[in-house]
Amino acid sequence: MPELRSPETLDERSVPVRSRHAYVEELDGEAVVLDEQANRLHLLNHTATLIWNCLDGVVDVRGLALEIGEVLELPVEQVSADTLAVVRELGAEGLLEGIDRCKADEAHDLGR
Amino acid sequence: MTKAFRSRGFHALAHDFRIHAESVPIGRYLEGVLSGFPEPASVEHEYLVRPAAQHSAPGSTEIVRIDVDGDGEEVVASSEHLGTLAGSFVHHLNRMAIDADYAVMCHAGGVQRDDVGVVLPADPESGKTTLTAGLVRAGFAYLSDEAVVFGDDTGAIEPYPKPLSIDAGSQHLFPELEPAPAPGDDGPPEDQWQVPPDAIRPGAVGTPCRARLIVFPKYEADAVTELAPRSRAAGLLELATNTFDFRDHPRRSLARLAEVVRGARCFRLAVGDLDEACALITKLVEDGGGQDRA
Repeated sequence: MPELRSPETLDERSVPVRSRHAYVEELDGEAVVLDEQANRLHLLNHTATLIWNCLDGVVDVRGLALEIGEVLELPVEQVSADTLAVVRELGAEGLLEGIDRCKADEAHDLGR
Repeated sequence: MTKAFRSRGFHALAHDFRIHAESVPIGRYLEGVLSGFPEPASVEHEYLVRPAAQHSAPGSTEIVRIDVDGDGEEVVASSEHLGTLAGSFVHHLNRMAIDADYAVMCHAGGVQRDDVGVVLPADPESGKTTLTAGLVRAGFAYLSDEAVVFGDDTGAIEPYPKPLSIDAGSQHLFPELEPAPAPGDDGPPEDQWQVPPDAIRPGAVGTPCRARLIVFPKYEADAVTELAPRSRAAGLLELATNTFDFRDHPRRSLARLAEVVRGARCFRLAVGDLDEACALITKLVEDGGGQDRA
């Protein structure tokens, strides 16, 4: 099994990939993500959902920020920092391939 | 099984049953408590109500579940007070009725007006039964005070019209619902009343319907009673955390709940005053319930 990396090692050249254990339901631009490996649920806001949907395993964080900046007409540097922060957050929640889950406080354990 | 009393059958979600009693008045009393349940297509479980075994308190009655093979039995409730026995039996039936293999089931109250189903998911002690009872008294049809069931074929709510279990802390809000003492009892149980829905209003039980409003209530003494919109995604997350045995079928459950939430609007409801809370929900329904459907 390949060694898991810390979310802090993600940078603008990283190419994040959505976890294969994630099942997503999107509603009105927000998403609820079921982590089937950890049996936990996560709520993604509009920004995180937008970024999540772009994590195709091809584009890197910098490229993603460029695309989002163009669409939203926002300065690339600002978008780039925000995108990286969200990607690291997704990694810390265990929702990216190869990234170590190191944050569970805000996730929701499944059901009663 | 030949006994003095044999009830009709009852359909309680995953649990279809009938009761037999050695005493006709006791059998009739329990049949009345359970009168909200519809008839099942067939009966799979049998219960017997009889004087308790000798090691119980004098005058106790017990309810035993009879093994279908006829060679075993299990005591599911026992008390010297019939009203208390009925309460224990209702809680047993809840445990039997709620089964994630049957359908996706949320810990929630549920009411209905016309074709608008209103789901009230909440943790225990959040005032779910109180709000449900208040809404039924205000004219809504009753679906459940415990479990709202989203049928696997269509996602429509299947009513689970168990008796409403009204705790001591809320009984002063419903003086007209105080049950008559059970046969042999001096009064109704103080800790919890079991109120059949037709005691609130004849014909109070609702019919299968779609969830159009999902309202998360929270009782807080002295709180300002107010509604606040929630996003559908936040509503879905909270509904999922209020789903029985979600972890048994997580993906299936989330998909079904998402389908339900897409057809509904979501709100939080802080409840400081029951009548105001009922008025807010009534207005929500009258203003078009699920108008803003996804």
